[in-house]
Amino acid sequence: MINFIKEQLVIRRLKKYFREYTQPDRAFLKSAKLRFVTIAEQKSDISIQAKHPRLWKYATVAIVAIFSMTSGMIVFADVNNVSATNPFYNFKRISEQIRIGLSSSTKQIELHQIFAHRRLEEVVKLEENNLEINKKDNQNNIDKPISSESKIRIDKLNKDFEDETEAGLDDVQDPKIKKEVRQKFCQDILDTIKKQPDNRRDHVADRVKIKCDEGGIDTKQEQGKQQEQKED
Amino acid sequence: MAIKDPFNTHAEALQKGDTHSAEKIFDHFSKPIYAFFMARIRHKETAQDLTQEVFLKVIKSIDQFNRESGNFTAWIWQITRNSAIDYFRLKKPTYLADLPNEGINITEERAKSDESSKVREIMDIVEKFSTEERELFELHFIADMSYTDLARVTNKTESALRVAIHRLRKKLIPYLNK
Repeated sequence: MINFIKEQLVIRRLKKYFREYTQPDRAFLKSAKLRFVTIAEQKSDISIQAKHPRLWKYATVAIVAIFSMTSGMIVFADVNNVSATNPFYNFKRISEQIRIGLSSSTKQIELHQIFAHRRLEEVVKLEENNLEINKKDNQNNIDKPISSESKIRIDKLNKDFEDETEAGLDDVQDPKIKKEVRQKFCQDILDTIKKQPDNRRDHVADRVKIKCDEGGIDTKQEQGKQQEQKED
Repeated sequence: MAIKDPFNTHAEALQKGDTHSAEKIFDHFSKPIYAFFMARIRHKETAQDLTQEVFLKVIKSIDQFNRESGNFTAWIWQITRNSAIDYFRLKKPTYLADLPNEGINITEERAKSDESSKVREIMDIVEKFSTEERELFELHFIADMSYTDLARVTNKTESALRVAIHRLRKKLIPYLNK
């Protein structure tokens, strides 16, 4: 028993010696701890993605879904040639811009021609709609003028038609463009305007005639030929 | 049977960058790890460098630590032991060349203290023991590790460790009584 107590005392003394000998400096401990904690803190900033893997997954899925839906709506609006009153109308216009941006110069003329047609069709449809509404209102003895909203929309579409025609005319002025292509474009636009006569579009017809004559296209001759064919 | 380590929770929090857990881990392990290196290398600056290195390695590889199957105390001590092994493997020639000077410096610094000369004397004796005995001595007597932590680190049962330490004590006593 005494030996055991003696042993314990000796071991205790040994541990005390070693504790003294292996005691780290306070300054060292403080700086090492600060360094360790700072790096641990930085780790939390770096691993935000690792900390929220679900959030990143959901965000990716949401972005893909939004992209797919938007492209789907754009294609739908363009393929179905939706009217100006349709909620998808703006998607159709975006699609048209993309198509023009992605096509060659010859194809661009064709597209401007198609889109100019579309604008006029849209104007006509809008005017028809307004007429129908007015008729109904008259039947119900309501004296109602065309709504300012519709008026603004029609004016804007007429302006867009003009812009499409101008863009097409600019394109056909390119010397690389074949004479037949120019001729076809000008004639088509003039025919379209003729089909939907309106004094608001007269100046567009005049500009087409001037521009096409400048480009060496004899629209008067072409018109004469058509007149003769009709008379026959 | 694996012993549950309370530091596993802190390790998991450290994986997420929790500074409170980092502090807890540092406060618990820094002193024994430094003591372990000090006993092995007997050079203050090197022991400080290696202690810092251990904690840097902990941060660097904490993501690899598996809370469910792992044991943080054993894991951090494995890093510590590996660091000591790497140190001797890479620095052995330089260290041996420097050893006499270092020894003189330490002796000079502690010349006035009987305790430090006693410590050096015991360390010289322990160096002649087997690797397993030496490690047990360093972990239990110097790093002041409990039997529970020793069991985690060495993967042995507490009773087996009690027997081994009792034998080690018996071996040391004659030298200590001198």
